[in-house]
Amino acid sequence: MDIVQSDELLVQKARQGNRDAFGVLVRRYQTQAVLVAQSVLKNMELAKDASQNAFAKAYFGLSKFRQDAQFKTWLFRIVFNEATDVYRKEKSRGLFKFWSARETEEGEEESILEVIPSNNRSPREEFEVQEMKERLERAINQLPAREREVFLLRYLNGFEISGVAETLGIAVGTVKAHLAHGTEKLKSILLVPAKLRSEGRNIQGGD
Amino acid sequence: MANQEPLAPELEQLIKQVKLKEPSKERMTDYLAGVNAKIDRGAPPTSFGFPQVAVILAVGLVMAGLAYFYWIRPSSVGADPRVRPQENGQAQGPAPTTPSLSIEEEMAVLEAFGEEYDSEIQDLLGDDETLEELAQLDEIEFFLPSKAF
Repeated sequence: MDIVQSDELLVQKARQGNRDAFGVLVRRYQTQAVLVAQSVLKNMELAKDASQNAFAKAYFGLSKFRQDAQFKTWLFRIVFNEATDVYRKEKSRGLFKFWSARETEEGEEESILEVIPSNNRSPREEFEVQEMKERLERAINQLPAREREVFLLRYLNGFEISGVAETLGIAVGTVKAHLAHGTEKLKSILLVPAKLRSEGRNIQGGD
Repeated sequence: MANQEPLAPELEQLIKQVKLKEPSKERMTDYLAGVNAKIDRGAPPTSFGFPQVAVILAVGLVMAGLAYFYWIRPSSVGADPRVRPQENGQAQGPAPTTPSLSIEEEMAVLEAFGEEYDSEIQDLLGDDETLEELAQLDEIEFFLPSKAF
């Protein structure tokens, strides 16, 4: 029988050197960890590597982990910091790419969003949703880094505001402010052109 | 609820239809093995970034400052030899020693002293005749006591 063990218990065991217990924690949070890293890096291979590094760092830092905190939040903070570190290194490496002949696909940006599959959409609707997803992604990429991170963690990773604040190491009020600014910007980028387009169609239809 | 801030309905509608792209199962099969390999390799090295460079520069500046004050500055400024620190660290008044003079100053003193000495001798002794008279007087004084005994 597979008994679900709590994070606290697994952390306690891992602290005593039980690698299997830590393995359970890795399997539990590996996908979410990759997604958090992916939000920063926009590249799946880099995100996987960064999140693995973060897990290794978490293992070596278990003695520093305060038991009153949530393991998940602590882990995601390490993942986020590791991903940010990798992002900076990749960015500085990108400066030399111009002079460098070797081009690898490893560091290139990929799409981080996908459409949730549905059987109820017509082919036309499917096409529109795909187009809308691409526009949303482009709009998210236009946001300042911190606003983008806050928005992705809150609305696409599904974190609570307090969780976003702990992961990024900022105040809850700051998270709310970034969310408000980010949302406003997204609305202005996405919805205004849509309105203009629909108005344009009406005008064309009227003529 | 405080954590449930309203999102614009149009935007909410957009977000509801998309999600973050999840890694494929094939990509994640060796995930745990990768983590274990990284753990077996040991603690990841700490990155050498701006904070590390700043700390090294700060320590270097402090060391250079200490070296300057310890070796260079005292010899250029020159400590007053008359002021001697006591064991408790408090400075005492001037020590009863003659101030050190440079060679030129010493030569000047000696010359001045020599001229003065010569003039005094000449005042006392006078000319050659006086010297002869003095020698004669010495002889007289020399023989008189012996005759007396």
